[in-house]
Amino acid sequence: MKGLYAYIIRRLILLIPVVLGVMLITFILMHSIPGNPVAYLGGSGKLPPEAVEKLVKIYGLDQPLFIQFFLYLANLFQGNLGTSISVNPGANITDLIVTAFPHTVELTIYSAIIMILVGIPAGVISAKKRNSLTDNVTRVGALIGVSMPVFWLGIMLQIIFGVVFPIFPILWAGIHEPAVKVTGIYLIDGFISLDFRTIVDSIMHYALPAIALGALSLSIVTRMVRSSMLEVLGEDYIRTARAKGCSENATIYRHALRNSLIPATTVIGLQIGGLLGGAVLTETVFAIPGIGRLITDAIMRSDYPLVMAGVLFIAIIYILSNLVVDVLYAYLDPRIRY
Amino acid sequence: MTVNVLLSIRNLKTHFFTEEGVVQALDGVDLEVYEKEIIGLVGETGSGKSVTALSVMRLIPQPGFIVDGEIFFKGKPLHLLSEEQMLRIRGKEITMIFQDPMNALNPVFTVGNQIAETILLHNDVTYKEAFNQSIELLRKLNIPKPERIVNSYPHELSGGMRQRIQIAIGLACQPALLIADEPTTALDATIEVQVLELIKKLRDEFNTSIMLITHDLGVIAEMCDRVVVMYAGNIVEKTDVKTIFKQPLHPYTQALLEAIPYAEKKKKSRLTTIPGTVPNLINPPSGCRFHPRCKHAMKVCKTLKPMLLEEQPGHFVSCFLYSKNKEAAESKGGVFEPLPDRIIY
Repeated sequence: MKGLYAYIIRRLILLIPVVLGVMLITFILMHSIPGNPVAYLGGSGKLPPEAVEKLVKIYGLDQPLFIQFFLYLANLFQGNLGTSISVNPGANITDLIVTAFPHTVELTIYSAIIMILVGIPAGVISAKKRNSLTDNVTRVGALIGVSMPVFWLGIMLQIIFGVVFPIFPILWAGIHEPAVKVTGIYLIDGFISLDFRTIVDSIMHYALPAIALGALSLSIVTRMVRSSMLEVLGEDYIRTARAKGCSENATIYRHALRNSLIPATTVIGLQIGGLLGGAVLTETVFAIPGIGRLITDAIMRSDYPLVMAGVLFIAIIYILSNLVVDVLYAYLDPRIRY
Repeated sequence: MTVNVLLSIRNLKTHFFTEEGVVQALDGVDLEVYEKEIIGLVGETGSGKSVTALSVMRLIPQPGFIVDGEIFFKGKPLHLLSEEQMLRIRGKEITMIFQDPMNALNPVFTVGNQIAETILLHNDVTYKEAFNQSIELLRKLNIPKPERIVNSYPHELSGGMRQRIQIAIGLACQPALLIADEPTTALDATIEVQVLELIKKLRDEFNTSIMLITHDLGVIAEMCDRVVVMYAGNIVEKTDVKTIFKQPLHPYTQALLEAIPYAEKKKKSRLTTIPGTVPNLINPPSGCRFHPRCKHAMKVCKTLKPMLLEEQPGHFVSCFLYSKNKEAAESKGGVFEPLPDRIIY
């Protein structure tokens, strides 16, 4: 166990060079896109030229690029992500992210629940009844899930379950505000303030986006679990388990499942990491003000500081979820020791 | 020795229905295992040794099926039992240990857990009792530091130790029959001796009958009371261990014994081999399946199938060279002339 803690600390230290690299690349990419944020503001003709000039000075856009970069880093290490130029000029970027992120987290929670609670059992059953009707239906379903564009599925769900059969609300807005707002995640805040209406509202409002977003991850996980389960079922130790007198179910759920979840954990972890980084299309279709939309909007408007901060944030989230996967690995597979 | 039959297999036919065709892996196997004996199954790869064992366990992998024949264990017809009834026999009455100890244990559970699981499956005990019993079992098997070993994972143990753990799992419920499928093939020679000694000791201490599958005639000579020689899904010869080495009757057994390299042979003499390869069992040779590789092959070998008959007291052979098969074949009009046009060398 001691080795595990040392490993986690080592991985956290490794975060620093990765983050610096991400920052540098994002910075270069952002500045190679034609146009700049002030031009965006000024181009609309709403600002007089003097004001534009003043803004350029304020944001340091007249400085050489590498100085801008180091200024940015200097601010970053003082915990200052800067202020937004475009979305809500002058707004503190930390505040913007802190407001947007809970919505993304909430969407991720629902999608992950669908992915894990449906994907793993579907994969297991599919492998258990290989080449049966159930298996074929699951496989075709998974193939459809992988091939379907998220935005299209989102719109279809809106039409079917929002318009034709108006069961779910079409858009995100309108969740009942809970009395206590600690996390910003409606579901959790709802439980904290024991506000039943918020909980139901949260489930209703996130149902369609979570299905649209979860369909892809769900299909990937199902396929992954199925194939690794089939592989494990061919292993010698499964035959040993049967020779011991284990029933079919004991063999599958006790001996095979944990082994087959080892590769599936990677996929699930990376999917959750990806979901936390913001699901731009889903957030756009369902008008959820999450982190994905925040950043794409910022990119459209060349809002350098906001893009940098957003990318930094996503990179860290992704690396951390990878780390969680690695730690889970050690728990699932005793052969892995750090 | 007692002569109580523990397991008797009659005319067992196990076929695999693959996409290329039906693989006739077992084509009428007859054998019996007596109480407290070690019986050896020997033959080349693909001769049907493992399939025989797996058929007894009713663990034949897909797409294999027992298409004909009977298996009686302590008078119970194993081939007719339901899957639930088999669950109570597997691991308790008949157990099996496998060739590759590296993969035969589940990597994510401790070995103590895996031994205890077997005890738990077949006895009405708590997990803790089962776990303590597994420590006791390891101590009985002379495994050093059993308290430490039970808490290890398979990857932390050596190959020989894992094979001993497999044996412990096999013995956890004191079965009447232990099937060991090439238990020492993956081990090096010194460990092999220790594991074989252990298996031998078990027969004496636990009164377990052991079916030992191997392709190593040295292991047979060392361990077994009786030997069954298999070729391409058939039993070609069945007798006690002394006779098989002193007076082998079937040409295949003779060829197998000639193929054993001896240290004292002249350096320049070449290694003796059996010409040809094990036949494809989708389209097996007609008549005696060994005839294409047999130096005594006659026309009758191609047309008629020899039966496993008791040519000498206690010595069963399936070959037309010997009187009983010869008589049977003559009555059916078999022609006893050498086969023409044979190119096997």
